[in-house]
Amino acid sequence: MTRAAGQLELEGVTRTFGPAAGVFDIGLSVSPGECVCLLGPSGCGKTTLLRLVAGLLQPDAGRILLDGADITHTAPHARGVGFVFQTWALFPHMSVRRNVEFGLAARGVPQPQRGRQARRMLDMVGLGAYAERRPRQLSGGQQQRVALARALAINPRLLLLDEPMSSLDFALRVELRRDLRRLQQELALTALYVTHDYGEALAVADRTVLLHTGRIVEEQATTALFARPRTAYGARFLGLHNLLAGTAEQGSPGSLLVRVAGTTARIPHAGPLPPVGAPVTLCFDQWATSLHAPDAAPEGLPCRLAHSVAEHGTTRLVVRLDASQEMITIRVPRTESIVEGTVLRLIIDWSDAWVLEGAPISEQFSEELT
Amino acid sequence: MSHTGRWIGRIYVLAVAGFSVSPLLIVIVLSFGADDFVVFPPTGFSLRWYGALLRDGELARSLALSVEVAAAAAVIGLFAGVPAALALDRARLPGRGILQAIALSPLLLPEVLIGLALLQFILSTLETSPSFLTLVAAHAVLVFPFIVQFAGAALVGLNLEIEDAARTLGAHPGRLFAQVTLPAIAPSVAAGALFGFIFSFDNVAISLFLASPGATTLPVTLYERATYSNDPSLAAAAATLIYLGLGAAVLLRRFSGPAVPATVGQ
Amino acid sequence: MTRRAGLLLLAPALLLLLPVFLVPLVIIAETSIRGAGSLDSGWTLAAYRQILSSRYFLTALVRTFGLGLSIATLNTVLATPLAWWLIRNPRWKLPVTALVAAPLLVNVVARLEGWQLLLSDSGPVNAVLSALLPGGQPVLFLGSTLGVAIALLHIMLPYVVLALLAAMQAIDPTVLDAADTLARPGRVFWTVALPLSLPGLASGFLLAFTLASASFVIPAVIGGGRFNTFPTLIYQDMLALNTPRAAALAMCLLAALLPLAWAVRRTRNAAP
Repeated sequence: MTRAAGQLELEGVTRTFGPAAGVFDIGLSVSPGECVCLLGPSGCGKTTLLRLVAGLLQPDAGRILLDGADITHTAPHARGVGFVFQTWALFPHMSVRRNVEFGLAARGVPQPQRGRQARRMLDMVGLGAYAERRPRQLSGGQQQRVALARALAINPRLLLLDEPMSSLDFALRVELRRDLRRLQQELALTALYVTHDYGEALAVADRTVLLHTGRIVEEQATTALFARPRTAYGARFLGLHNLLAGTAEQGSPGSLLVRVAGTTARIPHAGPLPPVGAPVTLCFDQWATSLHAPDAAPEGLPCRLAHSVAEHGTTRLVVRLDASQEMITIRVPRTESIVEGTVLRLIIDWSDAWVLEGAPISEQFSEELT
Repeated sequence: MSHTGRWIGRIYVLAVAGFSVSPLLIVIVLSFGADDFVVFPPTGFSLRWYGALLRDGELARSLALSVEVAAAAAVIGLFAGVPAALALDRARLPGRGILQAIALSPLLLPEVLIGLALLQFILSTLETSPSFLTLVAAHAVLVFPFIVQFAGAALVGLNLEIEDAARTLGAHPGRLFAQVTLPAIAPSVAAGALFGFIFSFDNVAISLFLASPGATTLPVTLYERATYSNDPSLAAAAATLIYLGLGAAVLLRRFSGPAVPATVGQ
Repeated sequence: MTRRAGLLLLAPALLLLLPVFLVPLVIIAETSIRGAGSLDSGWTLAAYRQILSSRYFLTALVRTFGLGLSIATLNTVLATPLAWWLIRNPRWKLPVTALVAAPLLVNVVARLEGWQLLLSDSGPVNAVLSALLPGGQPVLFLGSTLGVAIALLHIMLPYVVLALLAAMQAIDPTVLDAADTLARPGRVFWTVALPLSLPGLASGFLLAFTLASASFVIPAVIGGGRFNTFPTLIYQDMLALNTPRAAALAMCLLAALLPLAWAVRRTRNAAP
């Protein structure tokens, strides 16, 4: 079966529930065959957005276009969109095979073809032998794969997935998202994947859109987003980076001097320079640092160790800077434990730091980083 | 859904809701009629028939009797029903299923059968005549299943760990029941008692079979009047019952929340 | 809890049910096989024979259960689109459910009074009908099958609607969402919603069937003595002091209703 390309456009899509909740003025473009992740904490509107694209919700304003056609007011079953739900939502009174055939039967596909297509889909997800079972006889991972097969059976132009792995254990998740990614790429199927787990985003998506209280905060290629989030919110959400409050001093094309943590740093900076004296937020990766004893690196920033936590193959150390009392997280390969309170010197590789867009952290959030 | 489809749906729903409410509305409208007879449409607005109600001694006595009987039946139902629910939920009794079926059976058997059986029992076996006492006893049998059902459901839904905690803290069975179990099931039991009260208050068939001269409950009095007269005082009486019923609905909502309508069908 | 404690707790209930319920039932069963007139006569099946061989009584039996069946069917057919519509339009659920369920808390006599007023020869319904079809006779509702049927339909409606609504609400909404992404709303109803709410639907249907067939008040008031079902015949026989036949009629009614009551309990506990 041939399929149309699967180009999705969202223009100014808004949908509110009461005064604060919902999504506001969402603009997004998804290319054919691309998998875009909608990432954010619960309540950020990512599921709402997905349901709007599916047609299960109507927007208050804005347009949704699929392959150039305005589907904003088209009924869900007529959009050619496949949806995999968080709870998989298999029809409990039907066998696995009839579940997968459901969309085909609704489109009037007669029996031999329907059965064959269903069989093909089930084989694709590795469940060919389970065709006559009931959903309640299947494990979570198996149900998820049936839900996928059911959505794919209608040869959709767009695949929507709403946190499909959240009820599964970690090992299963890793395996299934690998299979899902492979399938999506093989079929060159445009997909929107909703999750709050950035590990899944990394495994599954070409591009990631970060949402917060119903608005898009950041949007980048997934690996780029993880390496260098552009906003303070992104940096905080990913939890992989450090934020420091500073004041801009003079700069020249390509670099900026920033007064931060009791010292002055030269940060590479493309784009317009902030006015002198303006507050800025600096960001740098947890690996772009090193800790030393005071006499070994007297030029480093004075700090004290707050605590250390052993994690998967690394040690996470949190230090408190003497100058600004801010907390910095360092990641080092496994090291012996250091006593808390030890006085240390922190060296930051400023050439790897960058200025975050948007309001400085003091205006955005007040929670501690760690 | 298409535009016309949506409108058809709305009209249908309103029609059914209207059908449901129409007898209530007509009673209320006609109860305010100014004419001597029931005339549609009424020519004027008047409260005279409500006034007639207030002066009606027989109705007042019937109302008092209905309330007394329902209240007494509810009390007896509680004393019989709550321990029974406990026993059915927790004791290892033989034939528990049969006992449960028997406990609920007064609501499943046709009322005429129960009424006839009781009347025959009173007249032939006990060789006496129906009285207030027999009426209360019969109504208690009707209220009993409500209590057992509601208390039973509450007991099933209890978190047993709370009772275990109390036991490890030293509570003996009496204290356990009084201070832990009973308060937990009290709302459901109260709801059951309320439903039982309403069911007893509204009952016609059994009250009719067991009526004695001068001791007719309100529904029976109205029933008898409905068969031979048709003046608006009947409408006023019926309207008052409607107000009472709607008042009870509001009370129930405030009392046990939106879960109530689902249980009413039981 | 020990068996002894359990029996102790059951004592008040037994004290209530035994003399006031169970024993009278046994006695009435026994009465039904007595000969009419004398209390000393031996056991006989004369009353049953009379009932089962009489065209009058058999017609009444058919009328009783035929009415119950048609009312239950009609109510289910009426209630199903209503319940489905309310599930799909949740904003209307509360007000409409309240309107449909409210009559349950109003005394049945008050409701029947309403129907008497509505359906009388000079009442609103006839007024509307004569306006639409001028020159006709007023339709005789009261005392006819039609009037009793309308009143029964009304009284049983809340039970069916509530049972159906409960069953449809129990369906996982995301299952319906999934169906919506794959099929038209009509197909979603027939292939997903209806099958999944079948136990609740059956429960409501059987409940209406049972209650309508066993109903005494409605045929008595609306039927006005001209429309007779088994319950009203039992009452009449009691008034006429023909207790054995009344008892036999009651036992026949019970025998016919017991399988229904059992089925109601079965569908209540069933899961899809």
